[in-house]
Amino acid sequence: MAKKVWLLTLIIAVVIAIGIGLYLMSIPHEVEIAEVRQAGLGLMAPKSCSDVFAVNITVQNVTSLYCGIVTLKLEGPLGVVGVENGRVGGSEVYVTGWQLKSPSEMMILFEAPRTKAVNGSGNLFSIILAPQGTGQAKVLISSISYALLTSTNDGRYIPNIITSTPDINITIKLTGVASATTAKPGSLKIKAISSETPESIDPPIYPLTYGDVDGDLDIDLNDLNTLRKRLCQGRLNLSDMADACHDGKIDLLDLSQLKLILWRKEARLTLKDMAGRVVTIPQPVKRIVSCAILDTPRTLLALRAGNLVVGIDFYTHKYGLERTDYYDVLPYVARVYNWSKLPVVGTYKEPNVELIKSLNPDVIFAYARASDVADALQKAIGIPVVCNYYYCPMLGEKPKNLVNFTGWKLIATVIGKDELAENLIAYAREKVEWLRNQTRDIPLSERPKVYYAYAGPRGFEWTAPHYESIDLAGGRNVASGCGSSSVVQVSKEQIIAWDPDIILVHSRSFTGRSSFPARLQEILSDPALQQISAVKNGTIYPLPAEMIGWDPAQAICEAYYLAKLFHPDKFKDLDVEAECNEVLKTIYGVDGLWSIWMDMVRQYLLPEAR
Amino acid sequence: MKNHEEREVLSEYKGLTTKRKTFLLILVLLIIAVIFLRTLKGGPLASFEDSLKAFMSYFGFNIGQVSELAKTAVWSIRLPRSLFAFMAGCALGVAGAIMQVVVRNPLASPYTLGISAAAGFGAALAIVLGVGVMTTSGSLIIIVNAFIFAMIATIIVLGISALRGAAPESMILAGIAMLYLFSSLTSLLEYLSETYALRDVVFWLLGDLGRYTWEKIGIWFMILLISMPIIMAKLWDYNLLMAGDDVAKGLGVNVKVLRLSSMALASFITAAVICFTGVIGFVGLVGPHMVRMIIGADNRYVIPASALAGGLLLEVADILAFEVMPPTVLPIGIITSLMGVPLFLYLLLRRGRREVW
Amino acid sequence: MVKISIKGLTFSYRSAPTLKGVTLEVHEGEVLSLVGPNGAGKTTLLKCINGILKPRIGVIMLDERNLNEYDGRELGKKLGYVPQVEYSHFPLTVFDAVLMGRRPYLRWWRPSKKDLEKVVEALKLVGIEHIAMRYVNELSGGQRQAVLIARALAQDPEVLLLDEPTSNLDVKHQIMIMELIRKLTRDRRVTVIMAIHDLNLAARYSDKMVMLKDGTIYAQGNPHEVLTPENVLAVYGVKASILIHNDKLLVVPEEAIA
Repeated sequence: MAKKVWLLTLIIAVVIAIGIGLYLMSIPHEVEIAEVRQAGLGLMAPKSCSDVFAVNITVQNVTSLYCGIVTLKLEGPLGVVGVENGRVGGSEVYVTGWQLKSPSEMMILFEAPRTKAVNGSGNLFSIILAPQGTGQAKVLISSISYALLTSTNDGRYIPNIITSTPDINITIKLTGVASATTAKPGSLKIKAISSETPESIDPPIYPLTYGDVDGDLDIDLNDLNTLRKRLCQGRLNLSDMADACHDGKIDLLDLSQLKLILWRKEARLTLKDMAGRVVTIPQPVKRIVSCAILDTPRTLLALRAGNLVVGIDFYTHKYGLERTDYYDVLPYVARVYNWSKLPVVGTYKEPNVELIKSLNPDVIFAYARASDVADALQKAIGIPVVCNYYYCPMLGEKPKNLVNFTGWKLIATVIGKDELAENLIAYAREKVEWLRNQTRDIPLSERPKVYYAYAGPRGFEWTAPHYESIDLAGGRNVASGCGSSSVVQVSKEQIIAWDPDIILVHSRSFTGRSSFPARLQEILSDPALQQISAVKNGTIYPLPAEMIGWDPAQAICEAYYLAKLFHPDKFKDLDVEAECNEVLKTIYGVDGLWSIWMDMVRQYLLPEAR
Repeated sequence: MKNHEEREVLSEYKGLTTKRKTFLLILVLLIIAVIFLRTLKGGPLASFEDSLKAFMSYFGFNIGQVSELAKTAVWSIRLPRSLFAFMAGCALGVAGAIMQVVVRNPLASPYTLGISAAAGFGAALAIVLGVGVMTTSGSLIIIVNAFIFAMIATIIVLGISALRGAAPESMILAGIAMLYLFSSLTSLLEYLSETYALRDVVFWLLGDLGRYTWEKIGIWFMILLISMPIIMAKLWDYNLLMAGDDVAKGLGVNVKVLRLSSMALASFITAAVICFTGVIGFVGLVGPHMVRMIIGADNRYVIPASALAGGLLLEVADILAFEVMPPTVLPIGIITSLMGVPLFLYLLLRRGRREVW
Repeated sequence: MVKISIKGLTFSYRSAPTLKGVTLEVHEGEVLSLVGPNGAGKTTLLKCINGILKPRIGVIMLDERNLNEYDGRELGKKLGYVPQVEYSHFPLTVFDAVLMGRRPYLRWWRPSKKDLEKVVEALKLVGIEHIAMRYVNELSGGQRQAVLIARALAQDPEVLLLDEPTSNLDVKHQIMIMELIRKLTRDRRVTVIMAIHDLNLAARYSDKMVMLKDGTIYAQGNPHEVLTPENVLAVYGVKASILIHNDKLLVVPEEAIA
């Protein structure tokens, strides 16, 4: 009897075991993966499946791979669920965009983050597919282009592009239908990389830099995302400024270059200078020759790039460094960098080509009004020449505005001092805003009538109808209705009829040419002018004008100086000298620059304004 | 024995002469009227009544309260400027008329001998080299330099021309050579100079009546006073010169001396004007032609009338410069051309059949 | 009496002489015609006599005084010159144009009554008083020539030098001018030297004829002596017949010989 029970238990155990074993056998166990390789590229997918599966695109032994676009063809009843990042050589590779053009065609954009190209072997990315029927399915790589980075000695990079049509494919047997939601044909997905925050980038601030994909006159992450979208869509009809490499095509090179520019690792930067010339400058810039007029060297000094300058032009040397009778900040700041020892490279009209070539600069700055000279110079020695000016007509700017910063931005971008420039610009704007807020609400009746007598042997009757400093300082320009040209002649009688309270005489020197004392004497000794209030009260002041718009720093100081002259009570507590010294120190790094002007003019000002 | 025909001819001639004299008189009256009106009404500073009072008070006729402003307006601004403009135009008109007759060329103008280009160069030199201080004394250097170079050009041209027998063609060609020479030298200076000096040179050349002073008016007045009898003595000879060198010689005119001395005088007068005013075109070229179109080419009337017409033209142009876009004052050179050209064309078309020259 | 005497006159504009060794005499009240082909030197000779051109070699005497000794004004009162061409583009009246001839007499710029009367007289003599107020540049060629003659006459000259005075005139006026010249020489003892192309007119109205060839005098004498077929052939290169009709000498050109 016991024997029979033991036998029955055995049989039941065996049956159960077989049952469990069969059950276990029907569970799908590890799928068989197939891989197909060809010339360093590979496709990996399961041999057969009945549910959502991944196809991996692999690479072997790549160096400096930066980004790329893959075009895949799908045959058979497949639906695309999504795409996933990959990993090559220990670094993550991001899919930043993909588009399902049609049910059977797909474009995927992959990138290395920031400026770190990847090396080694691994998985570029995976596409997640869902079977939507049973049968044979095929995935083909119909084309792939990718960008590699070559590094320069200075730690910068140049992108190169390689395209190929590998014709590599892999077959999958579909044995079931998956119920996952798949992407619709025509859908486009763009993803930013998490490490690309606005705070982490350091883009150029010059508005006409190439790489401006969305046309908003700056370069930021929006441009990057827009370009990604367009590359995936294949809609490459973008504006000329979107072509970051300036090679006439929009492709991966531009994507690579744009990324490099955003993180300032580009080896070359292309932009449109103030004369509308397209110039490519190698980066970083370590040697500069200035062959333009005075505002360019001043800007270089403001951007603390004085030590990068290896050659200056004749006028800067003669008038910028040696004059003592004529007020300008240039000589004092240039002294810090010993500019008087620099070789003189000719004038903006006649540059000394051999000398410039021998100095081996990375970039030469020229004067936008002599752009033909710039072209000839660039052609002769093959070094990029960038034309600078104090306002940019292409951007609709007008001269004689209080502060135009485009010149600063241009030079800052060329020499890689964008952040400093931005800070200085913000500071300057803040100073202007402060003053504007003080004077905005002063009613017309409390604003002194001011007549601005222009310079030179033309005479007292020439004035500038639009002079922002006067308005900003809370004054009223009596000539403000006189047309739109920058300088006009008015009749002497009219000046007397206006009866200005204050006369500003445009003069920067106190001896020699156009000196203030001489012009003051002329006015005081002209019998016709004796009835003017300003002449009777002796409220005739010198104005350093001339460089308005050219030198934002001095423009601001001038406005503050005028504000105190116009409204001595309101600005009783404003120590103009200290304020302006601070402005000039912040911008030029040298102390006491406004005191020099004040020392020259103090005797001509009334006690309150000193 | 005078018979009816002869008396008729004589009385017709007399009528013609009277017509011409009347024309001169009309010009004189117009000028007085324009200057007077301008002095009394020409600006925002003083009304007509105030200006009148200020004017009269100078001569001792006090008809009421005279404001300082009105006095300034009349005596320091309007009157000197009017006289300045008038005299400049006078000088340019007479110089132009003389030059046209003497070189027998209707295209001759006060600048024929390259004077304006030379004066421009002289001024540019003074400005660019920054000689002296740019004040009244500084501008004195510009004035003097402009004058000197204008006279240098004149001397060179007259010298060359004298060597070639003082033929009119040689004068014109030498003058053109001076024009090109000094224009290029000025361009060279502009090229080498810094931007601010360059701007000043350009403006100097543009012509400006604003640098008037009573002293300058006095200088011009003396020059005119001295030149007048000299010119008047030669008026007849200018007529003969128009008929041809041979005829003139045959009638006793020393053609060579007359030509050289007239050109020298006309150039001197011109230089004396442009060194103070810069280059003002059109008046000296077209003023005499306008006069000829109305009263014929008899120089006894044409030359004085050119002086008056030139003065009137420039005066009117200056008034327009103030009145077109007040309170801005437009450059005088532009006004003289814009105003003069339509006027000239009108006269040209009106008297279509009579040749101008 | 000898009004004008010329001895050995040689003149060159440049290097080649235009006149070579010209010697002739003109008596008071005589009409001398200068004939010769184009370029023979007729105009040059007239200009030398008028003092417009100054020859280096040779002597010209007027009233037994050397021409150089006269000043411009004196010469202007004695010699009246009628040029061949004139610039008449300017709007000057006929009266004023003729009045110019009074310049040697004018004291100041205001002409006297006598000056005006002389002008009218000159206009009448030439027959253009009816166009006295017309402008010169609006006249026909012939009228202009008449004006030039009138101007010379207004000078009240003792000698008249005429360069082709009849070339633009119609037949009637040609005769008129020639008769006028004859009258002047008869009534006022004016001496006339005229360069003329029309050989028949020259023959008819001149007392003496000088034939110039290449700057030298080929023949001189009275017209009958000078105008021979041989002379005409030698100087003009033209075969011509000389006829007498009504006491007037006629030159009939037959053929031009190359």
